[in-house]
Amino acid sequence: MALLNLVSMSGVVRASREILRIVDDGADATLAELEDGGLITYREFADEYRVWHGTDVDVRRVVDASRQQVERLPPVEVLSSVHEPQPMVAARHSSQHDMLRVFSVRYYDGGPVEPPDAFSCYDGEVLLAVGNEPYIPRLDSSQVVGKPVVIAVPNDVAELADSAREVRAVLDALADPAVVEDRVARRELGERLVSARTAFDRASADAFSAASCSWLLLDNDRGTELQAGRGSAALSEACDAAYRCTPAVGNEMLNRTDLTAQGSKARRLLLEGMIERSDERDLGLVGHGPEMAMYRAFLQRTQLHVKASASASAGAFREPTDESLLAAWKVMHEAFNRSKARRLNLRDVYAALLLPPVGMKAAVVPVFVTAGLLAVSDSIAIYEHGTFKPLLTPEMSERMVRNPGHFDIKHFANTSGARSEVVRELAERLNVRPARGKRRVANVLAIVGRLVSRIRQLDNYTLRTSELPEATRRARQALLDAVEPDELLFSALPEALGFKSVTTGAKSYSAAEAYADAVGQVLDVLENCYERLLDDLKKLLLDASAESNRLAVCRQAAALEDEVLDPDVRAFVYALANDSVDSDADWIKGIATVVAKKAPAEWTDDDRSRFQRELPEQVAAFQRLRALHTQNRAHSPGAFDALRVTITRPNGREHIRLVSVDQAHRDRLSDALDRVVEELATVTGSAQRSNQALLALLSERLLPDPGGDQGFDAFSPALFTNDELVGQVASHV
Amino acid sequence: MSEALRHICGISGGKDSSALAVYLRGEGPQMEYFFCDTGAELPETYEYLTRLEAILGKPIATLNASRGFDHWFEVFRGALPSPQMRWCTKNMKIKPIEEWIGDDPAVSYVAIRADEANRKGYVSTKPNIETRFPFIEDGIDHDGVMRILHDAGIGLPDYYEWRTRSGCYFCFYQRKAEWIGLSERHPELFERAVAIEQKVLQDAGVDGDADFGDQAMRGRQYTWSGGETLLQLRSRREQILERHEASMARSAKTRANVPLIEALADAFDEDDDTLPCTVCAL
Repeated sequence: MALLNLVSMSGVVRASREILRIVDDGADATLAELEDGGLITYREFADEYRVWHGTDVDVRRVVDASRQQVERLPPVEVLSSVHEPQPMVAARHSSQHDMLRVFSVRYYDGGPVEPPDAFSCYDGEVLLAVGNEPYIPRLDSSQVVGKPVVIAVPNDVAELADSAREVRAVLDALADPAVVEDRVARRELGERLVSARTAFDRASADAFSAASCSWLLLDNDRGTELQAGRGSAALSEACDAAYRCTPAVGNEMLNRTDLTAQGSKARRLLLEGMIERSDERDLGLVGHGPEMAMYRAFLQRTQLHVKASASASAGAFREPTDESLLAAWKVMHEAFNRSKARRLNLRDVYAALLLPPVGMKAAVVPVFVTAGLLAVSDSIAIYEHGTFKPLLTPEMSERMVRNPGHFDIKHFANTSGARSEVVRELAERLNVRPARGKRRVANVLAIVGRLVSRIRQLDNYTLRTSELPEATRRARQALLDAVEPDELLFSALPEALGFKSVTTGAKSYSAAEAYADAVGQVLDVLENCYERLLDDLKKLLLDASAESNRLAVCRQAAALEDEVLDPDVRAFVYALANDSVDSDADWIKGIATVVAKKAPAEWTDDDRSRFQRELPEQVAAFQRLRALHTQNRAHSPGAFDALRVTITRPNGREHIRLVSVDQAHRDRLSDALDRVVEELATVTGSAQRSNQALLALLSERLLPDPGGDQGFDAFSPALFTNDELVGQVASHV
Repeated sequence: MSEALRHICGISGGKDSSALAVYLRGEGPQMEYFFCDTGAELPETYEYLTRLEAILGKPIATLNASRGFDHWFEVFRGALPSPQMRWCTKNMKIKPIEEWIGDDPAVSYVAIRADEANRKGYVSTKPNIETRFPFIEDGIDHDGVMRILHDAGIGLPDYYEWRTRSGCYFCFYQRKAEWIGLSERHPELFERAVAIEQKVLQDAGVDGDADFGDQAMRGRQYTWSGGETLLQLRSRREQILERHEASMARSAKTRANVPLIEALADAFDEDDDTLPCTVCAL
């Protein structure tokens, strides 16, 4: 037995009861005695005696207990737990159509069947029937048009089920806590597991062989038997039946369910070219990268993208000439047409292409649908999260690829009657032309797209201000609130402008021209609103400055730029002096921002009022400073310190003077003042009191009460010269 | 490829880069200003940028305008950026800048101040871009920056009243006290950040919210602020503000006459003090 154990591991020549009997006639009694003594062990499933390594675990009892547990379980559960079937490829079909078709596989013993959904990575499903009684499920009518489901029904599953139970029993025994702790028992059961799995694989191959198993394509009846044989051949036959219109993509990098990182980038560049450069040769792609290969194989070869005419370089997307893509194109347009009645989620369009009979691969679908949407961009409106998007942009496309479910489409058929009349007038007034290379007239979407685009360019002031005619304000609100293009054009906007709605059935609309003119005027008013604001602001500033042009104010302010100024006034002066800007509008924007502490583009009407209030005060302060500096400079070319002195008299009247001390005279004045203060201290008792008394006397003398005709606002920039100041101080000495 | 040397200055919406833009406006008409819009900046930032644009008297190019955070949130199906996976900076700041510059030779002006010369900002490694630091070259420090802004009449962005840096309203580098500030100053943005934390893009369109809960990081709860959800954070409002006050006081004690804005920046609460996103905040 030991020798046999060494030379063979569950092979033909092994220490089976039969071979041991050949060796020894009394083998049965000896074996029973040795087994009872725990010196050998018998592996029932492999029919082999093994010299026992010795353990405290009763392996036979553990395995028997597991077997009893497993015996009660249905075969499908046991099989599913010991073996996960690998996906199967329909090899011949895949090869013929350059399209990998992969089926998921699972054990099955009855119950309803759900084919893989449109967005599953599998092209179909294989059911391995392992129930005690063969059962052929029926699909309902909606499932029949879904992805194919194939069932393999073996003639006999008893051996398969038994072998699976043995594998499961050994697996369960290996999980027994006593076995987990015991190395010898684990090793013994590990060897038994290998043996049991070998037997299972053999039984599985036998059960699903061509000779002993039927392969059927499920339908809403008893199924269609696949004649091609078993496994891959049967699946190819099922694919031939289900995917009758498999499109030829011609690019392996693109024709996949999941793209590689490089493929993903190439597809993004391709989509960007489709959306932004459809007029350019090769969509503006250059070089020989994967995006160019995708373009040539899928768009150019199939003529999904073509030149508009032989002489023109402009290109357009249209129905492909490639036979294999025509069916897919039709399926997509049927979906587009379904959106005439109500919005259609883009996932439904994707699903139509992913499902039979087309079965396009998921990575190709966004490219194909984008080509379709661009081909009918004049009649299909796109909504993202329910919001109308006037233009398909590359960034929208990136989101569409990831989350098609966030997008809806709606088909706007060409209008007729009154609505058509209105569209024509609006197109004329707004200068909207149909897309190049297309014969159709501009329709609702083109008009609304233009309106929305122009409204989006407006600044916040224009969007907020009430300084607009009432009809313009109402039209602005309608444009901002619009959700549905046709509602905006034929209902909300005419009503806002005082016209009647344009109903669907009306034959004509007499006010079409007037309505179109009114829309055009509203847009003109809105687009000029900000410019008018800046013009008004400039006028206010020039009026307050008593100047006629920007240059004059700039020059005045520039003269003060390097002088010592109040920090609050400095910013205003710098803004006035800014000559680095190109236009009066840019110049006044800076000034208005300094005055109102907010850019005019962000203003509300309150900000505008504040500007109007504060500007005269700031201009007056600026002019006072200018006068001060002009006069001082006339007397002294050097630097000087300026002070603004306010005197409040007992009657409450205030008097303001700007006084200055020339730096060149400061020392002389200071000495004179010190002497005066020192002398007066003998009278007042302290230098501090002397300072105060002196200040009061000087104020009285230098800033006499003019009799009430010079208050704060009536300030005149009269100044005392430095010589006068020196003289006044000296007279006290 | 254009051979003309470009002069570019990036603006984050913060005080330093804004001051640099003002500082450079006298350098001539060739200066180009740009701002990388994440679509999720604070309203104060957008308002400040229009103010700055008016003061500069020329447009600030907005890069990335159509691919902001909401776009990437949808493309990545709810997978959120984090310090470990900072796709926000890469996709919404660095890539747009480098695409905008392309292969043109360019001088990039970076707003690192003289008093923070060791700080790192975005310095391109592309060979066609030369980086210059005018504030360091001219010795302009924090006070200098404040003076530039004041003289231009633009002042500071309003968010400095409650937040120390520019950046997205949900920036995961912001302090817990700043989250509280967001909840009080912009409750609607705070609610939006709460929804994003739960993989929901609020009001994605007229249909309502876009929920990626079934797709992004299933079974794992990502939180903007370390260790707790925003709702948990908000429920600890008093405690967070108390600790923040205390750390501000501690921080202020170490230096005399520290302006509030710096005291705020130096105040450490229980937050992780990882180097913040200088690309966004500088």
